[in-house]
Amino acid sequence: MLNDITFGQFYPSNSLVHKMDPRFKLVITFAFIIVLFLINSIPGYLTATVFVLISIFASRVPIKLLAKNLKPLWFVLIFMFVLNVFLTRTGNVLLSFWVVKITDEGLLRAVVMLIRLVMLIFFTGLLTLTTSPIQLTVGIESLFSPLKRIGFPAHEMAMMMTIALRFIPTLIEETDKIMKAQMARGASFDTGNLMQKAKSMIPLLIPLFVSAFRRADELALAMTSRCYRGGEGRTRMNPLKTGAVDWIASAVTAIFCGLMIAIDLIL
Amino acid sequence: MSIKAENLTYTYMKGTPFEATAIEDVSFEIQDGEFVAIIGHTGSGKSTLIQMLNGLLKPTSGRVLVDNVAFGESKKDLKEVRGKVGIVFQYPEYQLFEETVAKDVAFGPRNQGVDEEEIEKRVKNAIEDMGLDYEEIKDMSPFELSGGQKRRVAIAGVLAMKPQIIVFDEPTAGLDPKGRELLFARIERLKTKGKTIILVSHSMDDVARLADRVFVMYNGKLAATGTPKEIFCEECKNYGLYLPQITELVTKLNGTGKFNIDTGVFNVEDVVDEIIKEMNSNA
Amino acid sequence: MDNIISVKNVTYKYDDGATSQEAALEDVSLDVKRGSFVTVIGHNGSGKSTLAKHLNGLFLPSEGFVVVDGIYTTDEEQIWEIRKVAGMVFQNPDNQMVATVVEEDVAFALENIGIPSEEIRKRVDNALETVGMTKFAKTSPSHLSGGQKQRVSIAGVLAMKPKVIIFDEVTAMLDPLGRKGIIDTALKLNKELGITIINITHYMEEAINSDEIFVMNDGKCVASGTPRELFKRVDFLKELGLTVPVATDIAHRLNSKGIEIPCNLLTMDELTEALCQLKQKI
Repeated sequence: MLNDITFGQFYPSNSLVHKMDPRFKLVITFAFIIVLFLINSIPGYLTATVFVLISIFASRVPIKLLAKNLKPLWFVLIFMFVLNVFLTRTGNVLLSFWVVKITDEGLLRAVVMLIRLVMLIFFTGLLTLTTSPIQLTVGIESLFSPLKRIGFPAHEMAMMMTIALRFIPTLIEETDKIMKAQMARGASFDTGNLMQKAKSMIPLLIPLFVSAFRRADELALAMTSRCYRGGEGRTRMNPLKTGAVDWIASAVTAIFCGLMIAIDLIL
Repeated sequence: MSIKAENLTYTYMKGTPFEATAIEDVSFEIQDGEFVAIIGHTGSGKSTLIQMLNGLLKPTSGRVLVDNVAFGESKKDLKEVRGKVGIVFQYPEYQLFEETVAKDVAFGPRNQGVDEEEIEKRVKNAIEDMGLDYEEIKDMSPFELSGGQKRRVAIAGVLAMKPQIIVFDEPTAGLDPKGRELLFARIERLKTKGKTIILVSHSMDDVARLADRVFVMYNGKLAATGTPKEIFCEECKNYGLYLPQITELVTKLNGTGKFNIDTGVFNVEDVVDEIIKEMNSNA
Repeated sequence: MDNIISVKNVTYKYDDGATSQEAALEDVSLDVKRGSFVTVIGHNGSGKSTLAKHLNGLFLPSEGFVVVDGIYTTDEEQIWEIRKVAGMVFQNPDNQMVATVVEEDVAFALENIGIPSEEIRKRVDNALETVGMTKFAKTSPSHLSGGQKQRVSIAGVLAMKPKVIIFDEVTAMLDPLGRKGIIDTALKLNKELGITIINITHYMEEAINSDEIFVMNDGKCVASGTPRELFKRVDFLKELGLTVPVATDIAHRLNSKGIEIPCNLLTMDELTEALCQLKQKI
């Protein structure tokens, strides 16, 4: 149901990738994306593809689930592909009619771009599929905590993310309830022009805001009552643990990234 | 106005792995002016069922007839049926949004396309039907009212649409004893004015006292229907329900063999009279 | 028995009455005995929730003082100590859970007060077991019923190892089954773990098993006593917009109609027994 939107992304399993320290996963993902954008040649991308496939295999996430992430983006992918094919003017002309010229370089660039984007989507998808929202927030908080010294609110940011995740299903449910109640009073949310539609949202949005503020008030009181006073001196039930698998994964990533760059430079 | 359900079935997320049947083959008929209570534990399908009665949910199969007419999905049909069947949801005060009480109560009739003069009349009547002082509160912000007042203004917002059939989903949730008593008195008055009332409630005591007939929902099916006397017996415990307290007492007294009190008594006043009668009969 | 909480001449006013929903308090004094089960009743707006929020320093009195386990709630340095001693569960099950997984939510308070990780794990598991929610440890709160959410919130407080737990209308939004589960849990915490319970409610049936009842009206504490002493005063309570348990109500009415039955009966079993005895005599 609607409730599952935020939690549907996480795919629970006991794989090595799932057990990894979220901080390492974040850094590895980040590093891989940078290298992905640095390289330019087909062999480089084949190497990248091998790395992504190995990661997927190690995570035991069904590839079908990852492919699902492509679905909402197919238009962007095709658009980018077409753009590269038609707008590249350099290289040997393969096909030419009217004002359109398709060159070998354009085709190559389009394919490279396509692989780059698909790998990007797969790899970031793998991160969210193998890391629960909580672990992700803990990881982000921990990575950003050195910046606390210059006043960056790392803990506050993570707490905000947690509360947002916690309340998304509640607010979706509430939206549904208020909509139904107003519809029972004859309101319709889908008729008229844009202006009328915007106006018809008022009976939904005002109660939603009123309720969100009330919830925020009550939550603040409940958190205070449970001794919440910011990130200072807080401990964790499940502290982040770095194990051998994290270092091995990092080494493998480093080797592949090096390989990708090397292949790219040589060829 | 009568309302009839024919083989209603409702399946959530049909055709996906999350498919779940919330309502299965439910049929019933409620006569004009009847007071029917729907009971059943949480998750038995009560709220899904009531949402089909005015087209907020479209049944997967089966149909609903209001005043012997089935309604379709067209905007016109839905508008019409929502004018006939009003639903007061749980915690209805959360739907308040206008600047003033009068404007909020007018929201329904305005959507119906009623003219201004008639709207004002309806708003006044609806607010007074809920036992509130129209002149005093009409220009107040609904958010300034007390919890119980907010609840009654929200209900007035449904009444102002002049529905002939009114569904109340747990109308007294969160109210204190006085507030519960006042609100139920108002609902009873609506019945005497000829409205058909459908009450969804967890409070067996109130249901037994108020309803002409009781529907028991269990696992998405209509498991039993009957008068409160027929429904509230040992058997109702099979549906995860409990007996009204008065019934519990009468059952206990009768169980001792020393008393023989009618199990159809659900009022404190009545049970007191019955006990006195029994006490005197032996003497 | 000594008092775990003492409220002395507490008055609470708002600086700006327009924005607040809470009722005021006027010269409230009461003592809660260590290890007891206490109920506070009163209609909506009588000040019972405002009183509750004074008991762990969420609100501070304008006049008078509140002492919790020997600490004044106005003692800023020890305010977190007070909140550890006196935990609080609130009315709305949705608006007091912070985490997206049940066990993480139970751990929340412990993480806040800096308990070491292994100890948190132990306490969280224990607390979940006490409230009977172990099998939901890894579930998302949005998949739980209202009653289950409230039990998780109780576990979250219980994990702090409090001496007092304040239930601020915890059952108001629950169905009868959920309500019974919560009251049974509260009684269990009181009887088995010796935790003092303060239950704020307007369901009179919940008050039957308590050691003492306090009645709030218009911001004042207008009466107190054991259930038997207090529920005898049927007319007085009805005047305040409250009810009495149905058994007591029936006994009272029978009594006023000349049937000589004690007025301090609380349950249907007691009433049945009394009526049978009476009938035998006739």
